[in-house]
Amino acid sequence: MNGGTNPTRVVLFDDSLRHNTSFSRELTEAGIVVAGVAGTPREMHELVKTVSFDVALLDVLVGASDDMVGLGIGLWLRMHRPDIGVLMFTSFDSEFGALRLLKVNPHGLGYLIKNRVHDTRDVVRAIAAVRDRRNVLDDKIKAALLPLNGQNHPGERLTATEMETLRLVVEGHTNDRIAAICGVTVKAIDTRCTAIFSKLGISGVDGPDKRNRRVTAVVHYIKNLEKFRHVWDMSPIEWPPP
Amino acid sequence: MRSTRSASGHRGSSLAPSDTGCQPGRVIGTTAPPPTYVTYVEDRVVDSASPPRPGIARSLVRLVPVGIAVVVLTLVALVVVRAWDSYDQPAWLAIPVHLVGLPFVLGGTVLWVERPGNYLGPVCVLLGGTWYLGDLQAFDQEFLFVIGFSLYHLNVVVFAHLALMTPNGRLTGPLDRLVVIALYVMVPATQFLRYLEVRPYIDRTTFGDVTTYYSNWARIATYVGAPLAAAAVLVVVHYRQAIPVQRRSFGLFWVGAAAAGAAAVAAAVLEFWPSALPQQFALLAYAVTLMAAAIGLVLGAVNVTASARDAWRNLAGDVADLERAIATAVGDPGLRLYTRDDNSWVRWDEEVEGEPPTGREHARTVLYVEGRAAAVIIHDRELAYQRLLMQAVTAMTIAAIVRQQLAQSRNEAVLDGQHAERARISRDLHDEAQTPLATVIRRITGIAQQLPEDRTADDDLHTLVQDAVELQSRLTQIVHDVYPSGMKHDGLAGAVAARLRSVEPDRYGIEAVVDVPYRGPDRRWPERIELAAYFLISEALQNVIKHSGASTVSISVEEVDSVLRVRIDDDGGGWSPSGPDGDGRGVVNMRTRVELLKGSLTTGRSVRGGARVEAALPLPRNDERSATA
Repeated sequence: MNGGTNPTRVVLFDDSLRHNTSFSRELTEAGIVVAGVAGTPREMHELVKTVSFDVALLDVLVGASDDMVGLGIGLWLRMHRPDIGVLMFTSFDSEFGALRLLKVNPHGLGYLIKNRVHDTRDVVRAIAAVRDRRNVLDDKIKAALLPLNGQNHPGERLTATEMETLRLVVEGHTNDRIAAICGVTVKAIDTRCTAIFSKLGISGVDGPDKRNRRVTAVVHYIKNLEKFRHVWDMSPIEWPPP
Repeated sequence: MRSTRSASGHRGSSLAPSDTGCQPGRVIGTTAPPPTYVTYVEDRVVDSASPPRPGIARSLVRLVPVGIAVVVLTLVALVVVRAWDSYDQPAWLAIPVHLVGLPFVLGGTVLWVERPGNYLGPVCVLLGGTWYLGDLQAFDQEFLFVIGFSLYHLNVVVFAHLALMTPNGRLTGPLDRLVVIALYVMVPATQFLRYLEVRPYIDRTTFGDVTTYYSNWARIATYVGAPLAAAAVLVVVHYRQAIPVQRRSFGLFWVGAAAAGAAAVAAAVLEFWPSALPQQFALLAYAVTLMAAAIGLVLGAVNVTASARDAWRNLAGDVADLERAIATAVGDPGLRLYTRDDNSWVRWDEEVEGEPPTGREHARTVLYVEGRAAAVIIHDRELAYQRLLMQAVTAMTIAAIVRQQLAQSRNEAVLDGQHAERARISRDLHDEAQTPLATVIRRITGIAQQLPEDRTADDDLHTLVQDAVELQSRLTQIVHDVYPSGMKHDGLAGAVAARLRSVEPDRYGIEAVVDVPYRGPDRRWPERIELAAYFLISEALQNVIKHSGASTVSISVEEVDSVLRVRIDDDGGGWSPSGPDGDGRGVVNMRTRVELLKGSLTTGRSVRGGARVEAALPLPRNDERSATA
């Protein structure tokens, strides 16, 4: 499956023994080397220390505990072992979980929802993609993250002054007023707004009410960017175990 | 008693909810039980249901008024016995007239002991004593005669003072003080100056009467009528301003005082009547009404058994509006009740800044539950002295508060148990059914791929996989329905979003419009409330899909004034006629869950003609999350 070169080595982390057993078999049949299987955080820690592998398949363990340890492992690996691909294979259907992982490292992430994958080949393809530093996201999660407009950091592509301008637009100020607040000319603000609209993918010209693009920008900002901001405030997940 | 307590410095600041050491009198040691209530008038402790202090000091404090009363009564007896032969009145008049002072001395003593923070008692004793000062004129010693002559009318002044002190036990306005001071100065002064002028003409045998010489000071003394009239007017004003409980307390006193005033005026007028008898009757009426006033003062102030019984009856049951129940029980319509909610005081579900405001005209009673200030009642100062009533009211109020707290914690325990149970079932379903089923589906798919090109078997397998996928979708919905597994991480908004991804309302031709604010992990609403909102949304969503025939459903959650408002609207057929306004099982369940959290649920018609479910879930106030909002 892997072009005849080195077979991909993976480790599995899932608290369901039955799942691990049958899933290992499925992967092995597909030509993937299962280098290790872990059912507890401690076992996983041992694997990470002792076994070499290309991709980690992780469950978030939402069913068994509330501490999101699988997500913690994923974050740690993406931070400290950027060479390893991370494929979340879980029931934890969360665009926020995916975004956290992308935030640490924007490449080589897979995020698949267990009960939406009906074909092992999809997993195998995802493993290959993740190993090659590409991202594979569940369609619905991808759709949920779409408002980010391909950015891993909301508003990242906007410059600091553009962000400030957008915030003032959101607060309802006119361009004249924003120019006064920022201490620049109205023309400069006009330019900034055009840049913001273009970066946020808001195209076209204002309608007859002249507010169209402005309102769209505000709605965009509030609904689609702000909601992901709390990902930045999330408390860290403890990993590795003490 | 008052002095020893006020010395401990119970200022208003000690009322801050964070301060649980708001103890009366002294630091309560580990062995002493905490007080159940403390009543303050202008930061002065006037009443407390703390355990009685052992030892002799308390008894001695109580003995002071009793001792004074004994001294006064002894002196009175000596004076009356000495003066008895000098009276020129018939016995049927002389006896009642000379009894008038006694109820004032005795009643005043009782008041003094019962209401140590109130000056009615001492002034009453003073009035009883001054009633007999005139009899000093029967003594041969000149200085006693001068005292008797000069202070002959002092009892009228003290009576006016007493009348102006009701109902609050102190002079309230500057006008009151001016009138009383004027009376205290004018009456003895004019009489003493008159003595100096008429001394040679005084006929000692006729009890100080001066018939042969008319002093100018006597004419001047008639101007005393002006402050007296002013005092009468002020008493009427006080009566009109008094609250029901005060009128009830001092009703007999006010009636008696008014009648005594009328009798005094009648007696003065009848001075000019040719016969002495009518005036003697007027004097008798004066004496009797004064005694009635004295008795009324004591009874009203001390005996409030009936009110206490009312309080008991009003507050014993389950009370929806505790403040109104207390206000009715004590007859104080302006009464306010503040209860403690974590670290703030709350009245009518509104949080107040800092301490409950106490005006100077009000007293404040702090109720304690397990040594912690649990409630504050701001009430009329008069109530501060209705010890029996306050004891009944505070006991019942504390009982009602504890009852409400118990009910709430029981509800929360029920809900938490339900949530824990759901979490367990969801986990089991996930581990034992959902995950294995996903494996089975992948396995069958894998097998189907390996089969040779056999159309029938392939079709069969394909159908089987489709069925299994459908089954899996249903199972996933049930798992999400039972418990939102990701809520700890993603909050209500994330859980609702995941729920919609599993339900896929668009598969049923329903467009879902969701407006649930995303909040950071530090600003989450309490888990219990988020879960309740989630189950509500989940249940309503199921109803919309199964029964409504709607094409859009809108789900909105917002926080308005410490209430979480959850609304689910659709544009379907509305509530079915068979279930009167959606009183189906689902709605009953939703309502029960909401009511366990002190919330309310309403069902009705949405703007677009379909069904609407709206829940209001009260949020705890003043916690961290609103501070960061």
